[in-house]
Amino acid sequence: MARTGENFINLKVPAKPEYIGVIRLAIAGIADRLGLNCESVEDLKLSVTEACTSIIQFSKDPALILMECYIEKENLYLNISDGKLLPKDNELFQCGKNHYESLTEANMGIYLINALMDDLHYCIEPEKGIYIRMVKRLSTGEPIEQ
Amino acid sequence: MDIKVTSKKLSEKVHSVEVHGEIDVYTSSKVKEKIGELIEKGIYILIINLEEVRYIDSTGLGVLIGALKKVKEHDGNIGLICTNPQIRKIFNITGLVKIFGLYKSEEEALGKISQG
Repeated sequence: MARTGENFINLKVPAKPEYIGVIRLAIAGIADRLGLNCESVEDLKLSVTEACTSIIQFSKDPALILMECYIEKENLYLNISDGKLLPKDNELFQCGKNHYESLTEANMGIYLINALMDDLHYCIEPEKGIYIRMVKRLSTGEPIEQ
Repeated sequence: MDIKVTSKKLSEKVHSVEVHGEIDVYTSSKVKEKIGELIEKGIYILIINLEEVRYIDSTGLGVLIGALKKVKEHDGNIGLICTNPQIRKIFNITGLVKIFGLYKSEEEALGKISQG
């Protein structure tokens, strides 16, 4: 869903490893702007980096990494994609707490995001595209709308 | 986002690797390369110092896991020096704390690894 407004941030960088640090700095700045504590800032940095790394590692010939970020009802929403896929809500996969019976190097990124964020939905189809939506509840965040 | 990786001989069989900076998909290859060089030379007991690492992600963890698998094939081991709570948290979440020894100092790591 396209969103606009004063609390909407849109960042687009080349899908190259050297630009992941730029996105990490950007999300740290946004988190700092929101007054999050150090641990939450670090959790966001890692989650966003893992999502971007998934695009570089698994997307077929990705050109871009797009990060959309907005605040709604005291929740910070982050959508990270390669720009090829805009799935409907019912096409997104949600991690359960015991989604992975065993943790492997390949699924470690999603596993970490799931552990660090308050909500995670994703669609990873290397041929079609990658789209990861994550939510961080701010201090008094309302229940996250699915 | 630069990274610096250096190594130091602690004894005939044990070397330490010191990493400064952030370990991610861009920089992890440098860590992998340095550790790989040591393993190629037959050094199978490594102490990797992460005290100056500000950040590590799954690609960095993957490098460490890969290195541990290789040294274990030669009855070696890897000890990690790490006191940064955020980095220790990642090892806890992933359960890697069970397969890597996390130590507070080089002395502690050396003592434990030599016993094992």
